[in-house]
Amino acid sequence: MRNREFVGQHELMVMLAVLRLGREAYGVPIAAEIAAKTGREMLQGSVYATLERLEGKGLVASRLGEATAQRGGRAKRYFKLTAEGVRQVREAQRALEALWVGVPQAKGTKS
Amino acid sequence: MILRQPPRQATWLLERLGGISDLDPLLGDLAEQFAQGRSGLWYWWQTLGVLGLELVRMLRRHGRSFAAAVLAGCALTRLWMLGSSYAFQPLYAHLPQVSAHPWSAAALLRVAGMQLNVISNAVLTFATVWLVIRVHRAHQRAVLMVRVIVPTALQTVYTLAEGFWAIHPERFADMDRRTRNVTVLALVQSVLVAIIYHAQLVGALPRARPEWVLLDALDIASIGYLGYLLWRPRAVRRSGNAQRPPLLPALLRAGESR
Repeated sequence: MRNREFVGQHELMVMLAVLRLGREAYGVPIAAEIAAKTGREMLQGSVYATLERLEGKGLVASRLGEATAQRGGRAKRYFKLTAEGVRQVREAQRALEALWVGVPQAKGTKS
Repeated sequence: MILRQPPRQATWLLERLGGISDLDPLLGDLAEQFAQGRSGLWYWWQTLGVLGLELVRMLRRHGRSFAAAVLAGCALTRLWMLGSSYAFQPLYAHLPQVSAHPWSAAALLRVAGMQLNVISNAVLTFATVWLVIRVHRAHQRAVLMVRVIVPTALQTVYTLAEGFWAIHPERFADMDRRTRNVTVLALVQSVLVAIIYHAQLVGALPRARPEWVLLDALDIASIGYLGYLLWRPRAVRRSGNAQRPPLLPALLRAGESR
């Protein structure tokens, strides 16, 4: 079996949010998307730390966007998944679906 | 339309201590959300989150070497102080007798010896800075700041000046012009203070003169200004010296590339 590094839960959530947002994927909507879909509010810094890590792994690429007065003249950084990133997300999905098959009900057991 | 400005102190902290390599987009995101109605408390929570994440990340990656660097610096300082207190102790003995003849050869020799003591302390600072930043190469600026918090005010000036010297490969000549001037001024003033102090010890000058207040004020001001120069946000430092490559950004780049 090939030795692979799986993406963590945080990383997977951020990558999925980036995929969902498409061209509009920068820090604010990424965090908002995760909060809306999972009910978990991620720290903005945590989103960036995760994205920086993913970029280091070559799963995400970024470009600088426009600066606005509302942002104090600071530019946005837009993110998108690389081909390898998309492949990793699909692989994670396949692995999770395969693990779910045959699980009757996730009710927990009584001791 | 007047936009709400996020808490300055929080932004100040983020600009200096936030560990993410490109902070501008994050600061922009926080400012955008604050302008849209998020509270000051929320902004501070986000700031503390970034700082906490950075601390955890740094300790995870370099915790041992960071602790080792600070411990090595403290141990070297302690050893040196122990040795020099024995070596230079005779210079400070029986001073009242020397004070009776402040311009004698013996008194002048003592002043010279005391100056040597000061120089040896400066060498000590240089040696500890050199040792500390070589034990922990990943966060030279952070370790240097830990080192400058520990010593006394005069040693702080030496530490900063020699820290610049020790860290930067292009050395003193390529310092940011203002940093260089203030460093030179602070060093000259420190030497003057030391000479006056020792002249007072052997009785060549009367003690407790009002000039001390001015010298102390200058000392504190120069340390404060050097601290400010060191801690200016990255963007400001980049635009500080257009002609030649300024010291601090190069220092930051060197730290980040490791």
